[in-house]
Amino acid sequence: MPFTQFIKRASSLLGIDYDSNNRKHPPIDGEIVFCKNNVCVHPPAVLSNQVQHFPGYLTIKSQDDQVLGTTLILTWIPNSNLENNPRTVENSPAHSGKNNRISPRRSPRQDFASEDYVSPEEPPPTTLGVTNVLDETEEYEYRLPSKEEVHAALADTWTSVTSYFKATSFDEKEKGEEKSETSETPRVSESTESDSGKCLKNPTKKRLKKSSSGSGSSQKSLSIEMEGEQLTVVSEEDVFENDSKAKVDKLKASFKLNLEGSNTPAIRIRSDSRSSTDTSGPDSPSSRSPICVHQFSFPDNSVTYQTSPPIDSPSSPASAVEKICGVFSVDLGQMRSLRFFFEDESSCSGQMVIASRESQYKVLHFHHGGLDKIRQTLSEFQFFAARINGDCRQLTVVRPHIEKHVHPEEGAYSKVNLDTWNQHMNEKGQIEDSYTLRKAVFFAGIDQSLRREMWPFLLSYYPYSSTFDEREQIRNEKYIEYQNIRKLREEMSEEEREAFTRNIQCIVEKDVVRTDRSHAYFRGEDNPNIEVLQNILLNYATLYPQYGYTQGMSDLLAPILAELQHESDSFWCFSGLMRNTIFVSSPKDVDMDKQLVYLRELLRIMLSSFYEHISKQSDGLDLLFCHRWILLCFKREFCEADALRMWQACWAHYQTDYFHLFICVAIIALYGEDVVQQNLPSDEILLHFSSLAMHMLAEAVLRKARAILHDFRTRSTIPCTLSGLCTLCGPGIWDSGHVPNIVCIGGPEHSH
Amino acid sequence: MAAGPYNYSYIFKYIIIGDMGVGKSCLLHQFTEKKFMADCPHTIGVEFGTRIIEVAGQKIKLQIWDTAGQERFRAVTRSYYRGAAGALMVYDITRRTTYNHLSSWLTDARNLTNPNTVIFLIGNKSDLDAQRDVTYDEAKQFAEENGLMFLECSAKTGENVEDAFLDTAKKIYKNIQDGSLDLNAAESGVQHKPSNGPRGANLGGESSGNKDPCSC
Repeated sequence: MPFTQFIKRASSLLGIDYDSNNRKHPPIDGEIVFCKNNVCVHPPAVLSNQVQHFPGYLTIKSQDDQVLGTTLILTWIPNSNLENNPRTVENSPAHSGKNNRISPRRSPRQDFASEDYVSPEEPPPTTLGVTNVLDETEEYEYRLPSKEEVHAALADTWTSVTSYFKATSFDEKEKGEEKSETSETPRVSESTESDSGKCLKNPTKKRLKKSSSGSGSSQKSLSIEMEGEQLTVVSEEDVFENDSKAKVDKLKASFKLNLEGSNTPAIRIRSDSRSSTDTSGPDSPSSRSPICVHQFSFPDNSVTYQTSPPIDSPSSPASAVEKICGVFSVDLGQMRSLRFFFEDESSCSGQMVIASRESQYKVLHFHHGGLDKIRQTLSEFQFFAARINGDCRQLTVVRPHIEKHVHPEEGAYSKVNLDTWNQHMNEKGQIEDSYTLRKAVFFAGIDQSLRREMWPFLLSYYPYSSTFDEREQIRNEKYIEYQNIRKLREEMSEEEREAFTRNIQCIVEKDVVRTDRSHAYFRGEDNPNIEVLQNILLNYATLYPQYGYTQGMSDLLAPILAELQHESDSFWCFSGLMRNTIFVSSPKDVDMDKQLVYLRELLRIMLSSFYEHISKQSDGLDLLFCHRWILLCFKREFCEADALRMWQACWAHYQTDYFHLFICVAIIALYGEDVVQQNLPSDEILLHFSSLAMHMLAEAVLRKARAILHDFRTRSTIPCTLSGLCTLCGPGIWDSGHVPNIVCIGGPEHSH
Repeated sequence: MAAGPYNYSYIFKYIIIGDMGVGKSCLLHQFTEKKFMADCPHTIGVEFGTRIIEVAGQKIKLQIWDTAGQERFRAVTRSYYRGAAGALMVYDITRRTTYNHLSSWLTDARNLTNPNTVIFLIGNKSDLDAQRDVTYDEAKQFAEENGLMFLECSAKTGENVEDAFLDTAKKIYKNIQDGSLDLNAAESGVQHKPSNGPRGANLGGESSGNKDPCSC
């Protein structure tokens, strides 16, 4: 054990406040520099009628970083995850995969649960033997049997919390779970106090509590503790209420100032925190708790949640809540800033607001102290520049250099392979953090061997939240449903059949024999797979007579069938593709027009010289050269492997549902310079780009497309015509997404 | 800057139209590559082919637009037709429906091109005579009634393919010679000399000519 660590350990054991200013050496890769239980995430109030508290476990771990030297990975795991699935964290392959330590740029999620969640038998190398003292009181306070009960309880007044806890019994089974979790409690090197600084409770007292709660008299000891806890809260509340509204206003005003002083256009404190953000009753804890004074609301133009159901979980707002309150893991070195809002000057409770470079926000609520400690711990890292702005303490991430015209997270992800895939799946087979997974697909793609397994998720056949069993069930049900569709087609009346044959079947028959015939799966005379391809298309046209069959569909289906090699599964994945992707072979002009309106506008604001050129040519704005790109999603512009990379990047629905349009812009940005320089007319622009098919560099195009998407998303204003580009995909793990201010300019495009 | 295959006097724009699966792309491929392409993927949007031919000692570059049989965006098909000097209208002799649709293709071609556009009717798949569904005579009669040139071809064997493309060019060239096709008209579909200015950095990569294009 290095001497400094020995000193540190000794100091902390002796209760001496280790002078952090002396600590200049960087932490070891993988070392946990901070952890804290019961840090809350609140779903945006619009998603529910009252503030819901989702407590979770927060860790900050150091990780080697090529640029910064050391970066920090912040991970918040909801208690419910640990509760439902206490072994999730151990199942993480990162846990067994020590080779992860070698990788210089691991994705945050990849190893969120590796060394920090080792069982006692296997202490990690960085362990210093200081047991993490979890605050059992708070554990019980939040370890609630069900969400409904939380709601019920929170609907009561804050002062009746005690009665709630008396009413809530913990059965033996739960206690057992608690215990086993406690034994799996991470061992960490330092800063392990759950409540630190001024708010730190007496450790001795805590241990007493712990033992008493384990002794079978938990209810009694709990209620006593809760009273203690309640006292604190009530007193806080009293202070707050006695202090009159003036202080609140002052607080709000100062927050507003701080935030507006920063470069980001996003957070403003809502002037009346009670009315709109919290729609709960006047007596509900949310509206009376001092925390709520600080309740952030995001500007009107930010995306807080989907008004329409998200792509990958077409259910209810509940799924949005689950997403926002699911595992949150980010590389702090990749963020823009961290802000700390303390409840008052003497408190170490409050909120930490993480802002990404793309102005997405995550608010972590420290109801039980620890905020000062985390701020102090973080401020020791050199890549943060500290700033005090009134009541807000801010740490701005300072990176030595950011490559221009490149997405800042470029290179931070590696291809999703079987290992990464398994890491994201809990023991029931659910994907808990689809956002990070989709992000990795977006940046780095999917290993070929994993396509068959992962495409059904990307194509909305299986929900990410489904379990193994549920998927088996879906598969069976969909198989039967598919057979019924087939029967429907076979049982057509003579008249219907004749029309169907004329309008659909003879076209499909013509196309399937010339679709991807060079592909191994469809090669050769009398290949039975061609008939399967045909059947799927005919059944699709039967199920969706309004779409029928249009040329291009076979091109979109063939790679799916070749990968899944199963008729029914391919049918449903294809249906999902047609539903989710707007670039589908639509029989209607309006769908294509919508795409072209977006593309024109993107070109106008992102590549103005090109836009000016085409707008001067007759029919230039028809963008003829882009039609095939959009219809087949670049299948004829790149070799199959590259085209599928692009498909997957689009299917990931990361930050936009129109990534294909950003790819179009990227191609033009990279290969369209000649067009302007040589003043080419429309015909020759078409010739120019069609002669480039199969000669473009996919990696460069994708990289450019990501950069353009980032550039687009960080713009301060965009025309209203483009406001729909980044809404459907939702904010993922963040509390808020960000879209720039929308300006309606009433340009000529509007009439187009 | 003379000599070489890239030295040509005119560029003619052609379009190939007709129902899906009649063999438009295969005809083009046979003409430009002198090969039959089995499993030729269906065309989405528009594709291109070029070939330089010689008519009356003049080198002419044919720029051929191969369109999709099932065009979904009527708004843009206009762009394909615009400025076409020649239109090859194709049907499949083994499928009567493709023949029956000719009148609607012809209407489009007439409406969307200029009056001097040469329209050539091609009955493709003449190698499949056993499965013939449309007789030579009735198609010939249809062509005469509508003032179209006509040949039956086979993209597979190459029979008559060359002639169809060349005869169209000869007719266009004749129209230029007798003055019925005005080269200065905006959409004549003919460029005299490989254009003025730095154009044509595509399809074969020919360098642009340095001669004054059209002195008028």
